[in-house]
Amino acid sequence: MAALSKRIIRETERLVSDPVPGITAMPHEDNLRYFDVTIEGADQSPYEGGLFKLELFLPEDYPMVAPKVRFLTKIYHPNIDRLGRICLDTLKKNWTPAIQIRTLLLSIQSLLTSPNPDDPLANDVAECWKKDEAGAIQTAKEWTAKYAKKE
Amino acid sequence: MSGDVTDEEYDFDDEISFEYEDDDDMFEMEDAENENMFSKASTADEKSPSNSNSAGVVGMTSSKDSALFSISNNDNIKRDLYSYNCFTTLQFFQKVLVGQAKDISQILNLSVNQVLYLLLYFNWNSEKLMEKYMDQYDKLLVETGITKFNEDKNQNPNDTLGVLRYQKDDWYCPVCCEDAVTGEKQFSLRCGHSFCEKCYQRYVTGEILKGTLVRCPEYKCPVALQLEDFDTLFHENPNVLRDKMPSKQKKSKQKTNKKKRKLRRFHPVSFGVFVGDHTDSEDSNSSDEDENDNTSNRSEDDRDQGMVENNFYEEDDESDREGFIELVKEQSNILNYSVKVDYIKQIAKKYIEAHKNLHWCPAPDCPALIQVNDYIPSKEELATKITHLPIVSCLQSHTFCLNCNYENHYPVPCSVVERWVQKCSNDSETANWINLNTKQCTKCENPIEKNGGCNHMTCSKCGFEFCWICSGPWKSHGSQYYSCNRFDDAESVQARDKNNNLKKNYKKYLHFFDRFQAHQVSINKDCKVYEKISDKIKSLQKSQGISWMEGQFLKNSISTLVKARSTLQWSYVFSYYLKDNKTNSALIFEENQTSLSNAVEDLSQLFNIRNAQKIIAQRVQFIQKQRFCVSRQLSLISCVEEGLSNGSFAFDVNIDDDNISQVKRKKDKK
Ligand SMILES: [Zn+2]
Ligand SMILES: [Zn+2]
Ligand SMILES: [Zn+2]
Ligand SMILES: [Zn+2]
Ligand SMILES: [Zn+2]
Ligand SMILES: [Zn+2]
Repeated sequence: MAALSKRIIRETERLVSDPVPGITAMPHEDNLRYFDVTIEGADQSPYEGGLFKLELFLPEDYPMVAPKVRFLTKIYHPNIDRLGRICLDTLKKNWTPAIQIRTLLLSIQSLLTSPNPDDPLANDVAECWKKDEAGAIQTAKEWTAKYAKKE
Repeated sequence: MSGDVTDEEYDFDDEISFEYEDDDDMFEMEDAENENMFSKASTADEKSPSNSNSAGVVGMTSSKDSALFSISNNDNIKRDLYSYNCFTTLQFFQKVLVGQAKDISQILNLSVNQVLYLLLYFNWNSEKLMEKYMDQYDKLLVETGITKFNEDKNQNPNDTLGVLRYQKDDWYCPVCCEDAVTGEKQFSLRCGHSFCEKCYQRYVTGEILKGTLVRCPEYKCPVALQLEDFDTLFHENPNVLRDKMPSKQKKSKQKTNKKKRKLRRFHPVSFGVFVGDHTDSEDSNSSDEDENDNTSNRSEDDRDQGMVENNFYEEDDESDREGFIELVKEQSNILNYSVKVDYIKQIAKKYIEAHKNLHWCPAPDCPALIQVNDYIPSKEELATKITHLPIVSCLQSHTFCLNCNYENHYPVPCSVVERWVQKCSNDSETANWINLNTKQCTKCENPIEKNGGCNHMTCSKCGFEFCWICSGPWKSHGSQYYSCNRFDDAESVQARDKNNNLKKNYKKYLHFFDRFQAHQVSINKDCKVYEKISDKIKSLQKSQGISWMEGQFLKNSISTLVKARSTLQWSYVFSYYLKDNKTNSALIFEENQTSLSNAVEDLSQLFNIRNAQKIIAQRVQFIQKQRFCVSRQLSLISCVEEGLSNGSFAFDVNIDDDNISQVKRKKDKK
């Protein structure tokens, strides 16, 4: 493992000392490239009241390549699949090295507020979302209550 | 004579910048690559035995002339049955893509580079670009990040370009988070988002692979790099940095980035079929050829060196010494030096992959690109219309079929070629098993080595004249009765059980494979003989002042010979797959085949004359036999086409099903 770059050190310091509202990110003690992340479901969204756990890993080439992020908490969302993988431009073709972990987590948070069923990762969910939005939102709420309860 | 130009090494890929002679001063490239290509093309014309009309057969259907095709030195357009152009990737970019941008820039009030930028933004959809430009001009400028392009007509065009400057003390790079270092630089586009030079370079180097606009690394910043920005960022334009601070740059020991590419032997009519064909590669390594190859390499090398260093050596006097060293340092930062060219290539590649009329030459390591300008019949149509096969030649004389990517394979349909290739590669052991270059005299068993393409052999010991292919006496070959080409299965008629049937098919395969391969060998040998003769003729021309034109008949002859042999070669594949060889049409085909075979050997035999003076004296003979050969070739191709169209020829679809290995296993058991 390459030595930790100044970039990662600075970002980590700031994430801890100046956290983004509704988001936490803590590096593992034994692996400073691996972060435990939580994101609160935004108000007025089907995920309101939920607390979602994610894992985030900074590959060796970070920030030239995007971090690997995935939901650990089960979530009903057209752009997040069963394994918690996220379909988000920022993580893929729109990644640039100037994007920081906090920027990225913010855009994941906003993905929760505005799902995009036209660019789906979980096809079955996206299908429901398009056919019966009210029903899908209901399911998302139920899942939030069931799996993402705040302790 | 180095033989085929294909032996030479072309460094298409070296860092060559070019320049289009537009008033647009922002996009500076030199036309060197182009000129090289053209001079190559014309050299090729003079030297190659099969270059200039290598696809001429197609054209013959209309005018019965074997030399129909020409290269126009202005636009690379070749015309066979179909019109097409041949480019390198960079040429393609410059001529086609930049050409497209130029056309649009004349309509819109934008520079060529701005249009290129916008075309990339709209993924080469020029209609969409025009539409947006007309309807939502302001929005377009903001969306694409080129706002500053047109703000002020009087502004310095450089104001819209990126800047490389020294880092200020209180600054730090948002990507690596390292604090400013005295003497190190930061780069920013016109948006002003600065990152350190190294981070920016690393980012851009990765991004160019996408073949689209490379945007500023800042989150959601729409501004992207223009081509000139690559010059600045990667120091490809050394003038940019000649400023204030004494340079404390690291010394780079890298010199040139010349790619030491391995020579690849690629016979104009032989590739794709036998991967690693040992006989062929052995042929190509003879000493005299190597010498020539090296010579041509050396001159390529010299040219490359020139590209990088000549400009500087010219001003290499004492007063400029320092500046010169500085420039070389900049230039030899090779890791970065080619990024712009790489970017251009990626752009072109992405475009090429999205367009069906663009084809890469399938020859190994050949960077040539074919752009077809005509409609090419569908695969279904081509299954019977043999004369319409889209056979093309790249500027390195690789002749191939656009439909199946294999060599010139008249008179066989593409589907049959694919089956044959598959069959032969499954059965490479068999291919090796056949002794290709030596045979024993049928009479006295004296080993005889083939040294020319001609299959009419005369034993050096007993004088027996026989046919290399079937080992039969040569005397009877001129007559119609003798069937050198027919696979006579009379002997296996009694073989009725399945096992024997397998053996029969295997034997049939070997029979035709033998002929197929023999002509392949002959093609290579014909070419070598031609090289030697042609050298002699050239020196004769020099010493006796004979005009160059008078030697042309030899070039036409070898070109015809190679093409006719290849048709003959493939006609054995046709024979192998032909379902019923007893029909009238099959007999007519066979007659045609025999007749072409005789014509080919007749012509080939003329090349056995090794005395240059005598060859020139035989000029009329050459021309007559060459013409006859062409007409026989055409006749065979038409015969196949007719039979395929009216249904009198059918292919045996099951013949390959028997597994050779089955036969082999049985043999092994015994
Ligand atoms: Zn940096
Ligand atoms: Zn920017
Ligand atoms: Zn080629
Ligand atoms: Zn083909
Ligand atoms: Zn003999
Ligand atoms: Zn024979």
